[in-house]
Amino acid sequence: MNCRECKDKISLYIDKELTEKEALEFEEHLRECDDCRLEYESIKKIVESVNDMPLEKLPEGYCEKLDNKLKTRNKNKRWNWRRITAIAAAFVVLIGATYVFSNLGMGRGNTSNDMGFMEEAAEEPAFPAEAPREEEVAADYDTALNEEMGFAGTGDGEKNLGIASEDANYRDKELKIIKTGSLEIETSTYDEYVKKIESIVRDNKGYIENMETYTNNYYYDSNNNQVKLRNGRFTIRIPNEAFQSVFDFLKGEGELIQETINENDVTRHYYEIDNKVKNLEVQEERLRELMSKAENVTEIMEIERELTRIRNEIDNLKMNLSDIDDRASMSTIHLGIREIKDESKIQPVDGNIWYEAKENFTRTVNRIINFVENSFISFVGFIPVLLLITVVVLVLWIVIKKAFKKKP
Amino acid sequence: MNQDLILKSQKGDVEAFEELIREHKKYAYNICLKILKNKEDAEDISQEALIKVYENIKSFNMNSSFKTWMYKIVFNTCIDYKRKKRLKTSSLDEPIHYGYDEIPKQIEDNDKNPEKILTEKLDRKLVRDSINMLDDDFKSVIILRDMQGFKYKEISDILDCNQGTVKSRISRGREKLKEIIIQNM
Repeated sequence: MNCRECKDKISLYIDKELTEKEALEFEEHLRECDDCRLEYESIKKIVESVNDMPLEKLPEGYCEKLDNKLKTRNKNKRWNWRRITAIAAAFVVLIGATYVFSNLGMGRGNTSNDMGFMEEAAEEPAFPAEAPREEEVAADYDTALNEEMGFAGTGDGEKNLGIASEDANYRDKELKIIKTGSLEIETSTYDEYVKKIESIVRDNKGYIENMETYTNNYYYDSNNNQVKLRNGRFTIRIPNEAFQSVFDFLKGEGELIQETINENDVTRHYYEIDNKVKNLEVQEERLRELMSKAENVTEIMEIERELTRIRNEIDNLKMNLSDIDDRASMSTIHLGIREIKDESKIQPVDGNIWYEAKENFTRTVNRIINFVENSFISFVGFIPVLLLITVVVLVLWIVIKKAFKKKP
Repeated sequence: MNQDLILKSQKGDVEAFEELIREHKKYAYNICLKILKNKEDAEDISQEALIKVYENIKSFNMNSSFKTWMYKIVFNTCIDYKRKKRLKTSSLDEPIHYGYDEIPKQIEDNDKNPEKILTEKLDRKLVRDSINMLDDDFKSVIILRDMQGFKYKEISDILDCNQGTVKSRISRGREKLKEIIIQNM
């Protein structure tokens, strides 16, 4: 070992970091070399004196200060500024989003209202629209087709044929069509008309689902007596086969104002659900087989759980199917009746219609104008919120970036 | 025992944390004092570091040593602070420090006998002042090794460097310290 190596090892020797062999060599060299021994002893003395150095005492109040800081930190921890910023930002975004969506929603609402109103104005001048969102009724394919032919000509019939051939899979199966009709009638003999409805519905094995009579019109006869005019609203359910005859009868007994027939083909939907049920039933079968082979309780429990789930699903789907079946076997007719004054029938009615039509037209135009105005105002009003969101997002981004950088 | 206190501190128990650092506070303060050479700064920064320890204790990995983990934070906080301060204040404020090979030549020129170190008593003020004049890299290892008795492995964990570096720094640090002491005698 030479002096250079020796000097490098002084510290390691003092700290007992040398291997035994190295230490022996080192000691041997020290015995021979005065220089190195001097160096070793002075370093050793320094190390010892540093070892002896007392630690500086903590300044007064150090512990209390630390304690305070820790405790306030602990309290503030949940509410430190980063959290507050995040929460604030979330709030702003939330409010902004709500604002935007409520505006959009309002906008949409307005449009659909306007549309609805326009339809109303065009089709049912005085009767509140119910037809568009009616409950549907269905007929099986043959009756439906026949009725189409008889009633609406061949156009719709061809359409139905088209659907049937398109869905080759379902062609040979029973069609599920939900059929709905709506009628608006004026009559001068309200009570008689209602009685006729009741009897024809009873004769055709249907039933009246809903019936309502109300008064919203007055007129003064020649003696200046007030006479009330009634309005009625009926929902009638009729077996498919009888739909057309009942519909025609109701139409013929009063002054027709408006009529709609709507057929909704749910065949595909129906058989899709049906297939799902079948698949699930196969699965159920398989699970039951597994169940018989199950060996321990955990397995049984597992299979049991799965079985319950599948059973529930099947039940739900079957309920859907039976609902469609029900709606497809009975058609629905929505009937609105308005009582009118018997003498000079046409004159006042016409005036009434024109007046209301004009009124509705103006209202619709006003609504459209309002909607456009509101949309514009909402948009302009939202600009500051947008700006705010941008600023907050920017700030957050910077903070997060900084926070990441700061981490050791 | 320690494990218990750490778990409690992780749940936000301040008392448990204070108990956990009871004996370390003084060391943390002394490390800061040696590195920052200023009592006020040392107090502030050691407390800041301990608060950092408390805030980050949730991310402490139970498999490693709490002691080294804690001193690592203390050290890094000190060095960070010093760096920031150096950026702020002008370099004129920096005390002359003796680095790797920058010991002024006068040492060799002057007549002070190296053997004096063995014959004379080394008083504490002299040693303390001499340590303060060491470069940070050497000072750190001297503080950790000779004042606080850490093992080489622990020092390498605290300072984030390998053990070879620690060995050579300790060895050279002591040589430098010797030279400074002789110079100051």
